[in-house]
Amino acid sequence: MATRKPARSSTARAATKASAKPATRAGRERQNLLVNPESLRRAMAALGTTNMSETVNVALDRLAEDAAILRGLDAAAGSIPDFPYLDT
Amino acid sequence: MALSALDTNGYVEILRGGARDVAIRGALAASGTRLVVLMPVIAELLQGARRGVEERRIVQRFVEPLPANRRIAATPAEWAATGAQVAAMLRAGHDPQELARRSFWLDVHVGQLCRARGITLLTDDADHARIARHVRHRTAPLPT
Repeated sequence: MATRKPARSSTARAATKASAKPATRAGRERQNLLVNPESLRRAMAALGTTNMSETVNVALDRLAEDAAILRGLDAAAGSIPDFPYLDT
Repeated sequence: MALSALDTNGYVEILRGGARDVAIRGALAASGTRLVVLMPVIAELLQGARRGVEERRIVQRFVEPLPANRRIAATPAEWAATGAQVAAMLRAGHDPQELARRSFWLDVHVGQLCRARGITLLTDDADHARIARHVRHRTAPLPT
């Protein structure tokens, strides 16, 4: 007797389709960006990165870190006008 | 991309404010170098703090904004290399009185750390010119 496969729900099909996608690293998600390829090539050379995703992530991290560091220096500027120079 | 770090005198200029401070911060913002913080420098800077509020300000402004990978502290091998470096300087005839000075010894450690990590030290401290003859770390003057 022929058996009939149960019909799959659209939800189940969507789940299968989603699991077939290449896994992304934790904390990352796909974004569709328009990027200047020449800028990306120069950034890869400057950062020593080997792929586009890594280049974008490293560049963004560094930009945010640099900005935070400079904000810290700006916030400290002139905040202790009589800070002593030790005999170093 | 080049790594650079401020020496103690650079942080003191920023804390004090004024024209030099503006020049230093302006140059750092424009340079495109990656700034890291040397924890021995922060230790030296904290020696000058006279109140708890000053200690907290130094840590909050100069250390906490940096991620862990930009806070530079020596590994066990780098500490050992500092001791070996001081011994080598003594054997080479460097003034033992100067090497006995705690701050000078700490500067040797800072130089050693900079050389090991490829960091350019931004400093006006004349001690580093003498230390660099032995340690071979890169230094550059603080912007004026």
